[in-house]
Amino acid sequence: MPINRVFQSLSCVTLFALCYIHLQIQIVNLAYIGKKKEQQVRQLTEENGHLSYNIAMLKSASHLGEKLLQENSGLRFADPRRIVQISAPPDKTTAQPAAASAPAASAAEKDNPMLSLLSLTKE
Amino acid sequence: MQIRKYPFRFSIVFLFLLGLLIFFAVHLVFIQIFRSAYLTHLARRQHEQVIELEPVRGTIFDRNKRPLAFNIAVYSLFANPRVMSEANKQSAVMNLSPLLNMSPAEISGQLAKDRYFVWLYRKMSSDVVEKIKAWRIPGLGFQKESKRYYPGGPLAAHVIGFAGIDNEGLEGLELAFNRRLKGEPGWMNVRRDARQRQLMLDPEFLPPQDGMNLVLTIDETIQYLTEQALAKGAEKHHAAAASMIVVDVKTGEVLALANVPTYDLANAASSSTESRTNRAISFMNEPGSVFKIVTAAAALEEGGVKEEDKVYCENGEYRVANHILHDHTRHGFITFRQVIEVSSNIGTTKIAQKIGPDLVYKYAKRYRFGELTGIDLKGEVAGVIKPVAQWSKTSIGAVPIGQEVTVTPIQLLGAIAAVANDGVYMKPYVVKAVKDKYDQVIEAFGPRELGRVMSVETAKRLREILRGVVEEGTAKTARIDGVSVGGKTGTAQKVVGGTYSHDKFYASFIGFAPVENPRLAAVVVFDEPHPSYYGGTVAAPVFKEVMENALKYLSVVDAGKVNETPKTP
Repeated sequence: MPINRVFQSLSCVTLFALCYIHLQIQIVNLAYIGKKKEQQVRQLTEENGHLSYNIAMLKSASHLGEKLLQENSGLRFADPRRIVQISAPPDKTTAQPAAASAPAASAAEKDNPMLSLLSLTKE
Repeated sequence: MQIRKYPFRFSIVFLFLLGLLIFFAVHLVFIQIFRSAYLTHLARRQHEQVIELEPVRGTIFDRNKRPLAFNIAVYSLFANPRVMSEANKQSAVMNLSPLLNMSPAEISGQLAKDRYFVWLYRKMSSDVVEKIKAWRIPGLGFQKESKRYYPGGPLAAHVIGFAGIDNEGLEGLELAFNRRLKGEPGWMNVRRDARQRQLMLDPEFLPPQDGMNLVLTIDETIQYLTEQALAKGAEKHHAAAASMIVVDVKTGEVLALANVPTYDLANAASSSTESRTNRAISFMNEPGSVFKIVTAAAALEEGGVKEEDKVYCENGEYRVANHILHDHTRHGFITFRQVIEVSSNIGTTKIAQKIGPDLVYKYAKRYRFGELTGIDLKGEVAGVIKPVAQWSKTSIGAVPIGQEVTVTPIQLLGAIAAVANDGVYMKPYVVKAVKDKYDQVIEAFGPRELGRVMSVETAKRLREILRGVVEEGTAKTARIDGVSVGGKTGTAQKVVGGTYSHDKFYASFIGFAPVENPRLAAVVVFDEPHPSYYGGTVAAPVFKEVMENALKYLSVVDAGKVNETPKTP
């Protein structure tokens, strides 16, 4: 019957309309959340700026000079003739970290059979 | 059936409803088509807002990337007097006046204005903002702005300069490079809800172009050392003013530039004009005996004079035209080398007479006296040296010993640096590079040769003579233990009321170290030191203190660079 068709069509249209409105509301909600996050980020950026300024001020030559050189601390620039430079051979500085990590790795593999299995497949 | 019974009534109702329908349809068409533009504009104004996005002003770094000036966000207090009741206004005046250190009349005056927006206080600290927010006075609000901060305080004040309340550069590099530092503002078109809250809903925007960063040649540590030593010297000798500049002789990079008096960049608005003047580049004075390096260079290069040539110094008195020239100490026959070491006016004048005024003037121009050095700071002056045609009969006894000429400290520095750099004059500069916020170089400024003053051989000979000035002559107080130093002292009478004063002097020293392979050169000038006023007594010790510590510091820096482990890719 045509009246049934009309009701069906109207129901479909209403349903789609409701879905559309729901989506739009979700978009607006997300917009509010996004704005809130943006404000948080902005606040953190501002805090970062203030902290950066404090760090820069504490590290500045004026501040360090006042604290170290002027408050009768006895600190002075080192005479280059009194500085002895010691160069460590490269193998002693680079080999040790690898050697230190190797036993730790094998211990981890012992505790976890899955790891050792993976090691086998890697090899 | 009812319709057939009452056809007339039906017709009336039908026509009425039809008419209503037509009316609404016409009105709809009118609104949707003819008033569409106006209503859209009204809706946009209500729901959308264009916000200007302020760019971040560029940071100024020293040569080691330590920040010397940068911006951070702060809040400024405004009021909306039209929505404030009298009680709110009185409360605001009562609470804000002691907190902001403003008079009640000043605040009341602002709140009495018939406006929607008035500033009460710009760019306040965050703790003050929190206090005001806690009061919750209706009609008061905060607007975020950015403020320029200088973590070093007065460090390198005359180089950096300062920016005003609206982040526009007003002095120094902040002014000279303002266009590059300030960036370009952007804008954003945001949606607002019924409560005027902004939504992140498909905003249209043009991002701001943040300002570019400057990397200077200034070394923060050497700058600090220079400022401390200069201030100490000025206080000790009661000087009216002083200047000191330190430069890398090979490149012309200015490592430090300091003046006394100076000012705090954080409180620049309350500083005096005198304290803000960059005397190192914009004050001229008669240099005195430091100018003798001109005659010395000319004599060695083209005058056929040798270091061991004898000069008779007339036992301290010598007539030049109608003027009697005096030496500080009487000498008889001394060598040319000794003439410079003991700074004999008579010996220098005799050498100048021998080589002729044209040669003296030629080498003064080669040293670029009377010309701008071209340093990238505003306000430099060229000084004055008269051409030979304008010299009087007594000028040959004045110009070679640094009278009848005016020079700036930066010109003296350029000259002595040329001696140290094997005769090549390097242009002094303070900005090394302009970079964007991603640290990409936009523009780099490198060393630039402006000309050759003398040959390599002559420069070497002159350096040895100037070493003698420090080891045997008038600049013994510039000696540094373990480092060879060369230099020249100067003590010049000030011109007061058109005549030379007998109690006001300029004391100066120009020098470099180490002599064998010069790395740094410096100039120190004191204005009206007293009671001591000799360059060797007042200026040379300051040079020694700064140079000694600067060389130690640089040797440690260099050692650190040599020992840096290369990063693995």
